[in-house]
Amino acid sequence: MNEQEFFQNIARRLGREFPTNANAAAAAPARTIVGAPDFWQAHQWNHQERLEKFAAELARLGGSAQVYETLSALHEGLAALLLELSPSLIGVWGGEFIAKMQLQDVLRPFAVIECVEQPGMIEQFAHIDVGITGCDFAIADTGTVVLLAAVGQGRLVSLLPTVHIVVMKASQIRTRMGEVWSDIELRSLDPAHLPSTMIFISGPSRSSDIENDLTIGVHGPAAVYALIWDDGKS
Amino acid sequence: MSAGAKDKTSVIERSHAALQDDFLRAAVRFTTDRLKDRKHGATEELGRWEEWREQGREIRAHTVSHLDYYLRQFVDNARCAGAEIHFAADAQEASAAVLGIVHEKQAQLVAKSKSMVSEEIHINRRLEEQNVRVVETDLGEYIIQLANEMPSHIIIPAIHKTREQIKDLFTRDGGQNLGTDTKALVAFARRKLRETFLTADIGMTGCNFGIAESGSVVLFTNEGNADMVSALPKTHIVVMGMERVLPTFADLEVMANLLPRSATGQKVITYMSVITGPRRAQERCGPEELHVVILDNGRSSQLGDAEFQDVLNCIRCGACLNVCPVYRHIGGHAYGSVYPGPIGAVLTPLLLQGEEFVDLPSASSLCGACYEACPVKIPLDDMLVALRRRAAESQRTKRGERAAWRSYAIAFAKPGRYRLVTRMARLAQTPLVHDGYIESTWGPLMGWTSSRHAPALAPESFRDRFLRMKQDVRTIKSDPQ
Repeated sequence: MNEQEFFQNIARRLGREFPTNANAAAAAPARTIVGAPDFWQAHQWNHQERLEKFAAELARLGGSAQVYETLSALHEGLAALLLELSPSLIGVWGGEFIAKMQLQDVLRPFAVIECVEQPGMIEQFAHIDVGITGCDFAIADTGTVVLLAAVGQGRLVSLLPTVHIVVMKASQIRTRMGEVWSDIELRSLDPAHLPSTMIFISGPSRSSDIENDLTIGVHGPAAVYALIWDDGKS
Repeated sequence: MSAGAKDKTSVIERSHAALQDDFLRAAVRFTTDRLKDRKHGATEELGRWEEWREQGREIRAHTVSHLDYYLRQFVDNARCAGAEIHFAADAQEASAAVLGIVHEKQAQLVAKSKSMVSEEIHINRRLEEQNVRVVETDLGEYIIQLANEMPSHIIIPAIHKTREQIKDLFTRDGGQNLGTDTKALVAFARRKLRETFLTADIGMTGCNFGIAESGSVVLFTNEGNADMVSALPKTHIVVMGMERVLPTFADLEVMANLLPRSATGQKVITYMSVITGPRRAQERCGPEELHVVILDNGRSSQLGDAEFQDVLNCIRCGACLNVCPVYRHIGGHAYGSVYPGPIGAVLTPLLLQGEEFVDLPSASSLCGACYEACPVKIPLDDMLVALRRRAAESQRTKRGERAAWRSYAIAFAKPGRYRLVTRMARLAQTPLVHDGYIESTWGPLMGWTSSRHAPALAPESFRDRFLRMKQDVRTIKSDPQ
């Protein structure tokens, strides 16, 4: 159907002669109620509460969170976890990620591919057992990690492996989802500058489609580990 | 895919068939009980649920009443992010738009993530007619696609299948030495569908919400299949109902709290993906092209209709199914429509005007449990009554039913007539009454009395008794001592 007719029809049904012009700021419908209820927006946890709540919620979902006082303690934790998993191939976020989190030494004993934007990347990553990513935000209320797509931070690192490991900082944890949106809005809401995908992951992939029997790891990862460096900033 | 059980049968006839199926009834009851109880737990835990519901209602009602503005904003922003938008007045146009893209890409394999709106346009059938393979990737949808059936529940499509049946379906699909253990069955589906994700030419999804302020498409899944389908193939097609818009990301926080709790009693959905345009120039993950097909298909006819506009507020959680005493007995297929349960009984006759589904609003007890369960407070029970009224006004009811109501109107219009009729009825019931109850497999009330007791008319009517009592009172008054 013709676009103009499509909108004209909607406007007519709503009793308007012409569709409201979405480009004119003055035409924006007045709203008194936006987003979550006020009591929810006012709700705030402190740094420690957020950290504890995030770990507890992720555990409830069948994931696991471990908090480390220092970055080197986190490295030891990651090394132990990888030793236990003994993956034949690890996929890792590209770009600055490995350097920023100083993961070079921990990853050295393993076969590792970095997410570098190049043809054939998907086929390569189809065989990874473990995917290691950072995150941009986390949400304490629901045990969620938020990953924004960017160059070197493709969706496939957290999606294709059997095990997803998130290496993150405690300061990235927000109380509730609304704060994540406020932060993203501060950066830019321009559609051309928003990440192509923003993924909110809460625990391992799950399904109850066979006789209501809950199973983990249907399409996405069967295990999610969050290794959190408590960097103390709140 | 089969069009389901509906073949000029009535909802009553289809219900009879469903009621014979003991496994179906047990499975539906078990699942809906569980979903209902979990929802109760999840809303209790959140607290102030009524305030959340009111917030959800307000946001959806505001958006729908300014749909021209918000949909325009969504479309402009989605284009700005690089998406291509198609407009479809009906199912025919929507499938034509999808087929156009499929042909242009010379696609052989389409991987699909669960979407009610794609069921609505019967896209699988259209694609198969063109020899394009289409694979459902939600585990439940995959199962019913193998069985060549329609979903029987909005959220849990294969609610009616046993694990033995699933094992047999998977074995036919190439599974070897499969047991009936859930883990083994899921592992088979994971392997099989992984191939599909990696080789599909096109990924197709629905759209849980479109965000007007950014032109983003938001998808909710627990399995991660929508992510696979939207991230791996070269082309991603989104089919979205035109009313699926929210003004801002802030509003999405409310829906992210309402939807999973109402659908399955989960506090949070496992994967919420917010997609804004296709992959960026330097990226290699994600589709090269993103197409959004925006579907009307009878939705715009509800706009401006004071009785039914609110039906467009629906967020497709299925909570009304789980509490509906009718759905809980007959299951989804007996409705014969894509959308079952109370929302289906309202939405189907509204979207598909005509004779076919005019009896669906009668598949309800008008108890109002659906309204109580609805996270955005759609008055479904009022709508069911209004639809029945419309059916009666347009003479679409059965001749016998119309005659019965006409007689009722005549009999109840004057006290004298009413008395005459009840007296006659009291006489007529005599041969059927045993111990104050009517039990009978014949007569005008057999629909009720052949399986249940109906109370008989009292030997003396209240009016007769009242006259007698008034006389007694007068006698006492005139003779106080």
